This record gives sequence, C-alpha cells and structure tokens, in this order.
Amino acid sequence: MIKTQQEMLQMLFNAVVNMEDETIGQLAENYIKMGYPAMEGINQGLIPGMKKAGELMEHGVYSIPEILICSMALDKGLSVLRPHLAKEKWEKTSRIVIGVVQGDIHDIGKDLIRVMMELEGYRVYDLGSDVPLEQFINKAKEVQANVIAMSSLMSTPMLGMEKVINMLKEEGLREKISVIVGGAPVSPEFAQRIKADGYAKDIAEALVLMDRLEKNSSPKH
Amino acid sequence: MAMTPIQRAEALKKGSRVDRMPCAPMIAEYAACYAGIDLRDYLHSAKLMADCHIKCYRQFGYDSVGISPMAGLAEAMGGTLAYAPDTPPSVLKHPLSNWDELDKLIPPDPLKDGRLPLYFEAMERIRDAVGHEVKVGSGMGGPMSVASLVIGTENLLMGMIKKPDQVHQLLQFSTDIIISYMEFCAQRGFGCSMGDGLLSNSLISTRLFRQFVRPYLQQIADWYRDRWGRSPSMHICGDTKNIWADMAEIGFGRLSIDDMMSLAEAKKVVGHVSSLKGNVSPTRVLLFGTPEEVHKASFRCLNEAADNPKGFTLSTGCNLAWDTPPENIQAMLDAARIWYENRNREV
Repeated sequence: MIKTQQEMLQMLFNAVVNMEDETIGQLAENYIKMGYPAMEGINQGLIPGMKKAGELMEHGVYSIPEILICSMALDKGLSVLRPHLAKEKWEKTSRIVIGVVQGDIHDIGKDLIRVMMELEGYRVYDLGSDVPLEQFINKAKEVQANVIAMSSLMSTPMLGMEKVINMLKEEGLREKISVIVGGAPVSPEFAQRIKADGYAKDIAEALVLMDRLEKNSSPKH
Repeated sequence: MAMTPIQRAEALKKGSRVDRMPCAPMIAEYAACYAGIDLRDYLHSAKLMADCHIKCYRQFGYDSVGISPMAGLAEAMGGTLAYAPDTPPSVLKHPLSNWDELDKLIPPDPLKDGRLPLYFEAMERIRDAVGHEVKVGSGMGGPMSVASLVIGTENLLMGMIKKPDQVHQLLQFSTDIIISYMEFCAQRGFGCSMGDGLLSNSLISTRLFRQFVRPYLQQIADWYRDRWGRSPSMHICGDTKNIWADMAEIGFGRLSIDDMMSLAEAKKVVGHVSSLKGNVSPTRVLLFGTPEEVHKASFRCLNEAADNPKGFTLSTGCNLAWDTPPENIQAMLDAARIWYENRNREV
C-alpha cells in the first residue's frame, strides 16, 4: 500500500533521529518518486529530525558520536531532496565564511554548525580546518561575505582570531564584516577582548546570534 | 625556609609543616616559550627539551616536571604532523585512514620510532640536573586520546556507533601501547601521569564512556597499581562531572580537572578517595589576566579544595598557553605560599 505523505515524513524524521544513514538515501528517493514535494521533505521531515537529535543531546541521551551519524543521515537525505527543489532557495541574505583557525584541526563542531546554518537558509562557505588566517579575509572578499565565523578548540590557535580582526581593520573591511567566534577555550570575555561581534557557546546560540546579525545587517559590498 | 619539591612531598606525607601548598602548573611545551626556543627545534632535540624544562623549573620551582610525547605517538606509527613555532603539533595524516587497515597497525617502539627516543633521553637529562630536588616523569595520553591519534577523532567517535567491535579493538591496541610506554618509563624509574581530552561529557555520554572507555582505564589503573604499588593519576579535560565517581571507582587516586569544573563539587564527590589537582584557567586567567587575578583565582581554588581529605595540588585546568607571562606563573606559586602562611597564622 502506498504510504501517505505524512507517513513518509515521519519515516524521514525517524531515519535522521535513529541514525539510519545507510537507508535514508533510498527512503528520500522513494519519497520523491511518490510525487511528494522536496521542500516539505526537508522542512517537515529532515530538519525536525535533526532538531529532535539536538534535543536528545541536550537531555544527555545522545552525545557527539550519535549526532555525527544523525548529521550524516541528514546530509544524505538533503543530497537527494535538494536537487528537486524548484530552485536553490537561500532565504537569508547573510553570507558566512566559516572555518577552524590555523593550528587546530578539530572541526566536528564547526561542521555541525555549518549544516544547521545552511538549513536556516544562509549561504555558508566552509574553509575547513587549520585555515591560514589570511584565507578568511580572501574568501570573505571573494564571495562578499558579511560574516566570518571562526572556531578553535585550542588556546594558542584561538589567538589567531584577533589577528583576523586586525587584518580586517587594515583592509578597511571591519565595518562591513561581522566576526563571530566559538570553541571550548573561547569565552564571552575573550570575544569582547578581541572586539568580536559575537560569541556562541553551542549550535543553538550560534543560530540565535546569526539571527541577530541577519536582522541588523545585509551584505554591504 | 624554602623546601625542594621532594622534601615538601615527604613532609606533607608525614603531616609536618611545609613552606607552601604543593603547586604544579601544567607546563608542557610552555617550557620552550619560557626559554625562548622555537617549538620545532625543541621537539627535535632531547637536549633542548631538557634544557628548556630545567631552565623553567629552576625559575619557578614547581612540584613536578614532566614531558609527554602527545602527537609524537601518531608520528611513531607512520602518521605525519604539522609543526608550528608556537603551537603543539597537530596530526596531518593519521596512521590509519579507515577501519579496514586496523589489523595492519604496528605498535611503536618507544626506543626507536619517530621522536619517542628523544623523550626518554630528555627525561634522563632533566633527572640528572634536577632529579635530586623534584620528581621527573612522563605524561601520556589516555586510551581515547591515543586512539584518536591513530584514526582521527571523528572516525573514532562515529565508530562507536557504526563499528563498535573495531573501536574496542583499537582501544585495546591503544591501551597496550600506553601500558608498554609506561613500562619503559617504569624500568627507568620514571612515573607516568595520564591525560585525556576526549572524555568530556560534551563529546561522549556516560553510557558510551562506560561501554567503550571504562574497561580500558581499568586495565591501565590495575597495571599501574601492580607496577608501582600506588594509584595512578589522570588529568581529564572538559565537562567530566558525570564520570568522577567512575574514575574514583576505577582507582584513579589523583584526579586533575578542567577549569570549567568546580573543585568544591569534585571534593564532595571523590575527595574521600582521590587527591585533587587544579584548576586555574590557563587562558582567561594565566594568559590574559594580571598577577592579582592569578592570585585571586589561585586562592579560590585553595579555599575550595586545600582541605580535600586526600590532598590537593594547586595547578592549571589545562596546559599553559604559549606567551603566558612568567610573572603570572610566579603569582600562582606565590599564592600557594601566601595562602599556606595565612592559614597557619590563623590556626
């Protein structure tokens, strides 16, 4: 018997929550074959699934290993559904260049934040980890970004964040580009000290922070 | 009268008066910064490593000196590292890129492979110079840290869900490496203290800790107790409140905790079985703060935990950061003395 859209959405939701990264691709393809809209599959199936996984993490049921597999499942689902969207829809105006600063290779947190930012409709340009400081500036100029997001899990590489802010000043771009920072050794006081525009301690805070920046500004190039 | 760390430890054991509370900031590679040496040169010369630590110890006189191969283990198993002048090396290429090659993995020979022999030579040199005053030892990663050096943190964490059998195999392999390294140290009279940055509750849940990590920590703790006749010590980074009781049950008689944790709480949970060490913030306070702020933060730690039933050592919550002002380190050691003098005046 053909499943209703509601049933299929529930299955997509479950596949993300239950870490079914190996079967979710087929499930998403079936969903499309049945003629159901891709956008609803993303917004009412995959994304709520990832949000549920985040809630499970907050409650201590899941931790990073589970979240990593959930986000793999999410990515696989997205890669099937996205090409079926009417056109690429970037609802938000902010363009974000994101990366882990030079000297640090820990990029799990950054990857998760990137996925969630993309889902919120931001254009995100991911530079990866161990990113040379000038590359943040170069990429931001190239794509006319209005936000640079940097993270570090180590205390010495963290100091590179201030250098990026100084480089922006030298280039006369400091007013145009907001800088947000995060990572274990980074604190709100540190963010203030280096005159960053914002600090987020986790994914939820990063999204709230982006929301604030989005409302206050649009690309000014 | 100033005592040497060895005299101080002996007096404390007997319950006699000392000159100050024990204080051992986590120096690690900071010794090179203090001595003005490029970290790349330091990491490739046993003599430089030793000279930096001797110089740094002689300046501050803290209560233990140790060096740890850290990422050097990955290199010794065929990985490659990225070196920088002022940042501890990170792994560019792990010895394993995926789980299929697990059976081919060969444990490193501490006296032959990579830079590992340098650490033994450096420890000998340090002991020759200052071993009559202070205990010299080695640091070592815990099973999760070593496993993540082998295959990368993301692979390791995802493997806990997707490849549990292989993760157990790798953690056993890592545990064997750790014990064998500690045995090499023991044969030369060097104690070993472990540190693991991957046990934080923000990374793995209590359930995963008990399933994947606890059995291996147990093996190491049991081995250590048999070998040395005393319980091992461990530094655990991050949010670890959820595993303190487990750590004490396993038999870690000395726990060093992150500056994001409360010593007062740790004292309540494990103070009856474990000595505590910590936990002034190496960045917020020691790197960016003033000597007055270091003094205040050190006093806060001492007020919270100096009366810990099994003992307390004032320290940092993690390794010192490059460029930490020497006067801030001095302020910490001064605080350990002033606090102790104040308390004895009151009594």
